[in-house]
Amino acid sequence: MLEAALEGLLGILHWKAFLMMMIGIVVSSTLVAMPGIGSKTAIAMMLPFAFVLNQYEAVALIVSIWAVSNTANSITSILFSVPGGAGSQATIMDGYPMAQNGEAARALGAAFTASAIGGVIGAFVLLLAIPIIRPLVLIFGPPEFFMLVMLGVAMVGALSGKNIVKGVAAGAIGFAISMIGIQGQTGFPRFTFDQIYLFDGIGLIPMTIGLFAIPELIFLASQKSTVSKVPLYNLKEGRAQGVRDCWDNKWLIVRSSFIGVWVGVIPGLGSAVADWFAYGSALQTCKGARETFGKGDVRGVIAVDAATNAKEGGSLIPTLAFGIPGSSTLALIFGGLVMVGITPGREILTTRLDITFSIIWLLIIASVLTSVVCLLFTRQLAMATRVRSSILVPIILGMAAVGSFANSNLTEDLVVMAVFGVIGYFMRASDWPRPPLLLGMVLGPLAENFLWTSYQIFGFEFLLRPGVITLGTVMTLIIAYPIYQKKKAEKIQRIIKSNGKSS
Amino acid sequence: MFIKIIKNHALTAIFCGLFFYLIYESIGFSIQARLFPLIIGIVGAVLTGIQLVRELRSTLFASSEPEIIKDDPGPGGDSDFAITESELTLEGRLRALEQFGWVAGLLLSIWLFGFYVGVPLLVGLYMLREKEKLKVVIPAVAGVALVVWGVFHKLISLPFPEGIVFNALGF
Repeated sequence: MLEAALEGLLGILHWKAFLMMMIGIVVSSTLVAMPGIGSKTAIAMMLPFAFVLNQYEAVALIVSIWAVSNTANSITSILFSVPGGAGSQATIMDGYPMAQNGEAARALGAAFTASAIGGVIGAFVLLLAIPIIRPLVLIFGPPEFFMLVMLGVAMVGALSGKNIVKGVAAGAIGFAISMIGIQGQTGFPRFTFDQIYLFDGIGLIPMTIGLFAIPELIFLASQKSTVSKVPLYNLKEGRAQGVRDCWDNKWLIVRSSFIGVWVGVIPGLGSAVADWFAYGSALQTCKGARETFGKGDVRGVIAVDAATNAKEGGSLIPTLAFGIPGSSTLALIFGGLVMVGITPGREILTTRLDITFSIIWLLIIASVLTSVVCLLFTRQLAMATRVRSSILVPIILGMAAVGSFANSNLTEDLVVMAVFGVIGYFMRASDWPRPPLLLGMVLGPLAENFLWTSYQIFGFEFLLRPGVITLGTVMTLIIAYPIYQKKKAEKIQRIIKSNGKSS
Repeated sequence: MFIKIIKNHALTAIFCGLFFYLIYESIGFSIQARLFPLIIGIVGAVLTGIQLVRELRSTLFASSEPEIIKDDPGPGGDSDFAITESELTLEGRLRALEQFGWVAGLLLSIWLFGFYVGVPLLVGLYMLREKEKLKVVIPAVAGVALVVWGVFHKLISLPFPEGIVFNALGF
């Protein structure tokens, strides 16, 4: 095993493979940072070049693009509230307010450092998990997965904003939106109003851009100012502070990384879920988070970025070990590996263990290198928050339109972006939280699939399985506990108020 | 009072209506296609119904509501950006309306002239409307055009539509 590890390391440290990794990092960091261009597009673009490379070089190119995409995605989320991709949606929640407070360098510094550490943790977990992960994944059946999805949406819903009912209802709206299109199992078109475009459902990227970026652009334009309302603090110091924040919150990084790895292990769940799960968990477990999250708390950025990068290690476990790609991007990587003569599954864990190790090494080296490169350019990136809105707004709006179109090369995606821009604006104005809606939309198809499979196998008795009851209890507690706390706080305030009046 | 109710609670009522529509529509589906919509529809209708009743009560009996509920930051904290004071002013609303106009203008511009011309055109017009100097506008427009054409078209090969004006002119 040690021999394979060394062989894998030497394989990717060869100058040609190393050069391919650097090309992958540069391509990923620049392209993926643009809204709408995900790692999938970047990998698809580079796959034809992989044909002419040897196995290590091809692996270095493909895996490095994918491994660093989440780090690059955070840049626009923090600076302009425009998610670079699905995994950076939750980064907006605290990253953007930090940028508004003149702390862009600190947020970026923390995001890049947390990404690097998360990536390394994910890779180590992948290393350790391969022999033991299979029984763990097999414990959960469709009913437990269904409850897990419900738990995730309920958790984010209950912890988003001031009103729990609105939060959970927003998650249900997300589920409802996810039902638009042809139903997976029956091929029956639902809520499509005879529009061919809607047969494929609503695109996630144009919807996210509309829901989050358009309202923030409108806000930015209505302020007639820059993203950062205050002068940027010492950028060098801000960057260093971001790195220190990661050290101060090392256990949060570890916790979030493990959440990311666990989400990654489950096929079908992706970055878009890992970030919200980690955010929800941090919101619940960090001291004083309920008062500071959403207003520019660095812990919100750290938790999300650690989880999304760690997820990559986790998601490789089912891909490499069982040959089950957990996402469409991993399916593309899977295809790339097969294309150069590497078959995931039994072969990659036995006769080609060196390739498995080279992938693990790549996850570590590419994550760290990308973070170092990004940290070096933090100053330049943070300066973007001081650009006037009259310059920034039209450029971002234009790029958002191109990014929305890139989702499926259909102009209808632009209409979706605009419609969700209006919905997002009014949700914001009416105090309806947007994150649960997005999570519901992402998890809807999975939830329906698990629900139907559970119903087919067990009927409604699936609700009586011990795992389901346990997860249901946890879900009830998550929703009920904040309500109990609120009632308690109201009671105390009433007592204080009545005491004040009587005295 | 009626206008106040419409203004403050329209979104909740729309969401509530959406869930009732979901239930109504899904009743006609096969069991496989209706199971999930029915469950979500019922849960959503109950939740939004409760919310709507609470909101209407707080509007109709505003004076009897305890102040602490309004001031309370809530146990869930703020996990979404709250609307700001400046956005709630008349000027803020008009400015927001103008921005929606620009979004609509962008879509129109793309429909008429395609991405290569439509997007840079919108960027230029917006900057000129905001009284940016030409020495800023020209490089910005050129940069956007270069990115749209170079990165998205040449590198990634996005099949951008030409726009109806250029199609009509036979380009």
